Amino acid sequence: MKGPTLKKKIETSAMSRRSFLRWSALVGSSAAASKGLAAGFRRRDPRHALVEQAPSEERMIRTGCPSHNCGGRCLLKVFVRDGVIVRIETDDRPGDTIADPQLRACVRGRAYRKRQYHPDRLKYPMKRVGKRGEGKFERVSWEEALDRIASEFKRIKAAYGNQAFYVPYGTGSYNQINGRQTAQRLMNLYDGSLGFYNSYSWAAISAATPTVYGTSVTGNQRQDWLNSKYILMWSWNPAEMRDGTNSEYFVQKARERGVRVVCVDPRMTLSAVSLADEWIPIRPGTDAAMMSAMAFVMIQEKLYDAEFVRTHCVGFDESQMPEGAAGAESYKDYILGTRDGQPKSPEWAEAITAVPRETIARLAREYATSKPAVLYQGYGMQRRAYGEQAVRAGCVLAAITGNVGVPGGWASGIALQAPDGGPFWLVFPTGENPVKAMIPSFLWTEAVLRGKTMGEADGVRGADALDTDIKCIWAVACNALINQHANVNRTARILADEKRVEFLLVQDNFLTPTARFADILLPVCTQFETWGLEDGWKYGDEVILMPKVVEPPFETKSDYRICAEIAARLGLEEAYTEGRTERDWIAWSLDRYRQSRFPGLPTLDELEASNVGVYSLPVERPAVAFTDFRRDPVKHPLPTPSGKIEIFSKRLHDMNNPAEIPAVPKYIQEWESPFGPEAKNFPLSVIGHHYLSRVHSTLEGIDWLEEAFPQRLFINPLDAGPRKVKNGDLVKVYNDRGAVVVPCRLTQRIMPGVVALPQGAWWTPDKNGVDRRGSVNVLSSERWTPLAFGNAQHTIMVQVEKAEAA
Amino acid sequence: MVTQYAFFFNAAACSGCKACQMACKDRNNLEAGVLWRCVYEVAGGGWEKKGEAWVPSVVAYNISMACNHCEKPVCGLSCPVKAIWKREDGIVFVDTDRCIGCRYCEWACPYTALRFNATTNTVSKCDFCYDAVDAGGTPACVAACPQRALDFGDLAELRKKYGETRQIFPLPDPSQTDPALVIKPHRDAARAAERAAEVANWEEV
Amino acid sequence: MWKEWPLVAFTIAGQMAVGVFLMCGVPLALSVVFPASAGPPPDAATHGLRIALLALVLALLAVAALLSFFHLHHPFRARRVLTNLRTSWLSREIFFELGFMALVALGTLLTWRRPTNAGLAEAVLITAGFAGVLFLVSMSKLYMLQTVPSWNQAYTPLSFVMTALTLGAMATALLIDVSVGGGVKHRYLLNLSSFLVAVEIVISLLLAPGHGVFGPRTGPSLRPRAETHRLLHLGRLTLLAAGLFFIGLEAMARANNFIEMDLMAGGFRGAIGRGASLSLILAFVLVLASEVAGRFLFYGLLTRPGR
Ligand SMILES: Nc1nc2c(c(=O)[nH]1)N[C@H]1C(S)=C(S)[C@@H](COP(=O)(O)OP(=O)(O)OC[C@H]3O[C@@H](n4cnc5c(=O)[nH]c(N)nc54)[C@H](O)[C@@H]3O)O[C@H]1N2
Ligand SMILES: Nc1nc2c(c(=O)[nH]1)N[C@H]1C(S)=C(S)[C@@H](COP(=O)(O)OP(=O)(O)OC[C@H]3O[C@@H](n4cnc5c(=O)[nH]c(N)nc54)[C@H](O)[C@@H]3O)O[C@H]1N2
Ligand code: SF4
Ligand code: SF4
Ligand code: SF4
Ligand code: SF4
Ligand code: SF4
Ligand SMILES: [Mo]
Repeated sequence: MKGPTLKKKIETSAMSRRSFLRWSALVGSSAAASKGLAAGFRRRDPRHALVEQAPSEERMIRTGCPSHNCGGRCLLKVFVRDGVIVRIETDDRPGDTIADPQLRACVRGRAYRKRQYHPDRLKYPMKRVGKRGEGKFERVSWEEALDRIASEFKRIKAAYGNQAFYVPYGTGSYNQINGRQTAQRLMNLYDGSLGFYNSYSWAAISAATPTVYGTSVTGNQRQDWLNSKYILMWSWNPAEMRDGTNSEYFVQKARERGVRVVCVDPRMTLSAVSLADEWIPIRPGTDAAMMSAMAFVMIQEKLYDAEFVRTHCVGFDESQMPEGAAGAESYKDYILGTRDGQPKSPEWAEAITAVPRETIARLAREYATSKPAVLYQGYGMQRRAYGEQAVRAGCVLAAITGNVGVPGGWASGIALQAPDGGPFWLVFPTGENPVKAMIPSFLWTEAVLRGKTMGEADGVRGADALDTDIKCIWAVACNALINQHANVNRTARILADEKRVEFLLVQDNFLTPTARFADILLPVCTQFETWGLEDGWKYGDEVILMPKVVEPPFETKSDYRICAEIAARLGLEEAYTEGRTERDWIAWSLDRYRQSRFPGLPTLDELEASNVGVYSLPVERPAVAFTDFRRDPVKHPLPTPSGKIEIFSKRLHDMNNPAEIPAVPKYIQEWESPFGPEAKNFPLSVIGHHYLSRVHSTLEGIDWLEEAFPQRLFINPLDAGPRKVKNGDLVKVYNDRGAVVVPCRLTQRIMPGVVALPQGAWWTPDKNGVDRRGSVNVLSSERWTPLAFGNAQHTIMVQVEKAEAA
Repeated sequence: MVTQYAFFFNAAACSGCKACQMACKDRNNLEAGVLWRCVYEVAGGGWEKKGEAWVPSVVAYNISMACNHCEKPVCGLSCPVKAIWKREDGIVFVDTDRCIGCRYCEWACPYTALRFNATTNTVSKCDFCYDAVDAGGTPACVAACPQRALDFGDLAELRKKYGETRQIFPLPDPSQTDPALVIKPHRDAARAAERAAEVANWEEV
Repeated sequence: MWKEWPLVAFTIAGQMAVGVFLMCGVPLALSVVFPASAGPPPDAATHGLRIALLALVLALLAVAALLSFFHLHHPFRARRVLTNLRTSWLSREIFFELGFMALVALGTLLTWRRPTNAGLAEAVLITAGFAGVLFLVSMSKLYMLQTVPSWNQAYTPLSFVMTALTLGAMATALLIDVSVGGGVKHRYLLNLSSFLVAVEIVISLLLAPGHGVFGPRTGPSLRPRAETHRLLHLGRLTLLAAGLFFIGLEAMARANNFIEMDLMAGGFRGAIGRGASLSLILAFVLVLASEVAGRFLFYGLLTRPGR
């Protein structure tokens, strides 16, 4: 070789700025060009940056970060050379204003190449050869796989009817063309399948919020946080789970403006460290107690907004009980203990929450008097037993302090973004489901075991009862059959029984714990390998185009293509595709967005040609939910039965289950709790929080991410000490449902009595059935919340002890 | 004319999300084990039981750290083969053609900025994304930060904009190397030492 | 820590070379042990011994230099290693090692060719002695980094010097035993060795804890808490003590009575004949092992993030 030395090259680099501008597209990527997956991981030696290359060889494409259920939606700049993604950058649109901020990717998006080119990606269709769940597969042709699927579908339809089909909750892709929606469309054309409602994310909060406000659109546009004086981040961790790209950034900006931020969470999260002025650790599952005590202080000290309560709320005290509920226990009755004899004082709450009474009182005063104020409710505290109560209690605090319908305030609850509820994720048309029966998404194992016995009491909607058990599951972009559903060992036993679910079809990118149970396993291309379109995750006013960036490798296909081919075997191809390719559907989807929230949206051709990737509507004057109602509650009543904010809910009252579904929000001891008899054997609470290294179980096994955020149990030294557990030791975490063995990290950043095992790690049982990777759902329970029939996967008690290496 | 490129790091706003670290790894194809930028978690303090309540005195914050392109680069001063040199604009480079892999500079650098790279068999470190910067762009880590907690520019300019602080607990005495670094401290930094804080995430860095 | 074996070997061999040279080369030049240059030409045995000792020094230095290559990841680029004498203690270390080696080689050559120029040989050897000392100094300076608090203290130079002296004295004594047989002539070396080992024990006991053996000695910096290596430390002390026992035995025996000593030592050495006593060999091996343990401990005290 013997060209100039590296040193020379770098020195001259500064001078040859102009040639660099020309080549800016290829700076930093490796030069040697070879095709194939492996080539995605060639090394970059800075020397090669200057090797002469025709600029045309590297393309930069702006696209959305693959649309998983990750908490955000960000823009990526993907650099492609010879059909291989060689580098990923993020949004660098000039400006980066608060109204229209850059959509900067998180650590996962930045590491995405490692998923894209992971050696373990599924490459060929496979059929099961061992026992179900054993994970033994054999490669088959697409022909054979598709024929088998069609014949099983026909057999099951004939034998059990369409209610026996189920396309479960699965959140792996919302890019329109990939994901479960493509299968649901085909099922609907094929006379339908058992439906589901609500989610694993927001079950309790989406059921409880409307009991107070009659709607889920209770959130202002986020820029409004900058107008606040005080932000209570309650169980909210946007620095890790984002909750819409830029949420953490907006809170930081608010704080820079002098907004005081307090975080209530058992863990000192990344958000508590970087966004909050103060961190209040609280015993898990006791939020409603603390909120009630705050209300107690506000009532005692007359800090609540009595006027707003009088004009805009019902059920606060006996003077404003709804019709038909006169004489029932009002909110004030409950708080002051007039009926049950127990004032919900800070003293009372201290014993439950482990938060000092003075702190509770101080927070009550701060929140009630620093107006306008935000009480933001994260979803961790509601993915729990009686999660509905914490949601309702928070909404009531927002209401009685008069923070509803004012700029800088916040109504709490699920807080879909005003004015229209914000992003709508999927516009790909699934059509009507001819089967009207629906189950709560979390109760599918019940429908497998005893569908025929399920009715209203089990949350069945659309039908009085189910006609059949689930016999065929078609899991697309879903790891929630095994890994993300509660009580993995139980679910694994249910699925292993081939007499129950007779046919199990899985489509994924990887051989996940769920995929191991497949009868037929189909390899899906990633979202970089097909077309897509996405909008904000929860908040946001943008649409992001996801052009096909690289070709699907091996025999992978898009979920849409797979469904189309199954449709062909069922005689439904024309009906299914309507003659459209993936790209055509994206053009079609763009039209839907244009017809609704984004009238100015360019066409697909224009978007593709300009390579801008994103179309956004700047938020100059953030919308505030309930503005009209606030101004005139009579002219603009809420869609609640009373038209007002229902501190007391007559509907809940009428459900006649005051112990579990009280009409006013109450603290109810969780079914697994440090106060129950179960604590004798299992004294520690586990939180399976959402972890930065993964989207649930997606992006598992990526070495860059594992390096950044290893899987481990977080434990306070005060709990580790008596167990003779040292930092880094392997520990066994177990309860009656199962056991996992993981390394531990001693940290002061979690309250004593609580440990945390980040959710999403892949269940990896050893020969004794002990999970060696740390899937928290080995420990969680399938019991559902009373009102929402939602998952309570954070409510777990366990024991921890030192473990030996396998 | 830039005479000394430098980083600004806002410890008060850094969440420890590691997007910066990952952006660097992707750009430079650094395999697991090689971190040109990494994020240290500093944590300390403890707990007290008061009646039924648990009262924390926990302190915690993050430090995202790469090479500081020091004005007195002890790494280069200690290198026996002069494989580390400083460009006119202050950027400090490792010449991987010259490095003999003795790893002495690794010992000398108080910021553990140099990392051995088994594929080149040399040390390696942050090169300030010189090629991007030369082309008028932004270092990948700076452009990555979702919290906008990183910035870069001429040291003098950054000092004007953000102040003079270049050391927070437990960073080493800056007089050792004169790092081209400006820091906005996190509130907990002031009480970190007295609460026996230390780097808590060795398994990650 | 264990991966630093080339450095362990390099430093110990290099220091031992300096030590042996200081024990024999300089005295040789100064004609303390062997009245060589001043008096009549030495007998053949003495001359042979002189050459053997210098050869040992050279061999140790060569081995050290060779082993140090195993530490490098690009050994073939090492030709530039002297380019940064201005600021790099590593450059300087290699410079003084090579200089020392060259001077010793020259001195050996001059000593070999007995007849003429005893004065020149003397001068070269004395210069070599200085180079050796500078080699030791640069080696210490190399490790006394501000950034490594557990190295940046008196223990580092002290332990390097002690390694040099102790192993130097013992190796010299051993070589004399092997080549010409024992006798009163080097009894002082045995006494000195016992004394040095004892001093090492004391130093280890007193200074090692502050050196970071029993706890963090990291100071506020981005370095992890040093792992403690109590076992290595205890092992080293035990080995030193055992070495002291055997060498003390040898020294005492020789001080009293030759024949008794032979009986006690039960060595393969005749009263006047060749061969080293078993106890002396044992003592050397034990002390060498303790130095190796100590050196691994030393490198173990540098812990750094990353892999
Ligand atoms: N990095 C990352 N981000 C994600 C996801 C991911 O997998 N990874 N998933 C996305 C999805 S689908 C969702 S639904 C959201 C989920 O977002 P969340 O449900 O808000 O996330 P969690 O981590 O479950 O819980 C948030 C916080 O609640 C705390 N917490 C748990 N129990 C309690 C309690 O009883 N009381 C109080 N006060 N706090 C409690 C936890 O310690 C945690 O810090 O995140 C989204 N964002
Ligand atoms: N213990 C506990 N359990 C929980 C939670 C908790 O907080 N604690 N959180 C719950 C929540 S909020 C949620 S939303 C669920 C999420 O549970 P899931 O919806 O199962 O989400 P993932 O685990 O991300 O699994 C998605 C799967 O889709 C695959 N995939 C990704 N992209 C594509 C694609 O384009 N096409 C296809 N076919 N597949 C694709 C991925 O490889 C992955 O296997 O988990 C729930 N489980
Ligand atoms: S928040 Fe979601 S969309 Fe954004 S980069 Fe992370 S994983 Fe991708
Ligand atoms: S990207 Fe920004 S906020 Fe995240 S760790 Fe790096 S500096 Fe901190
Ligand atoms: S931070 Fe370390 S590697 Fe970078 S210039 Fe300073 S001393 Fe050298
Ligand atoms: S490892 Fe390379 S750069 Fe570092 S001191 Fe040795 S030769 Fe110099
Ligand atoms: S400037 Fe570039 S090389 Fe340096 S840490 Fe940032 S991304 Fe990495
Ligand atoms: Mo979710």
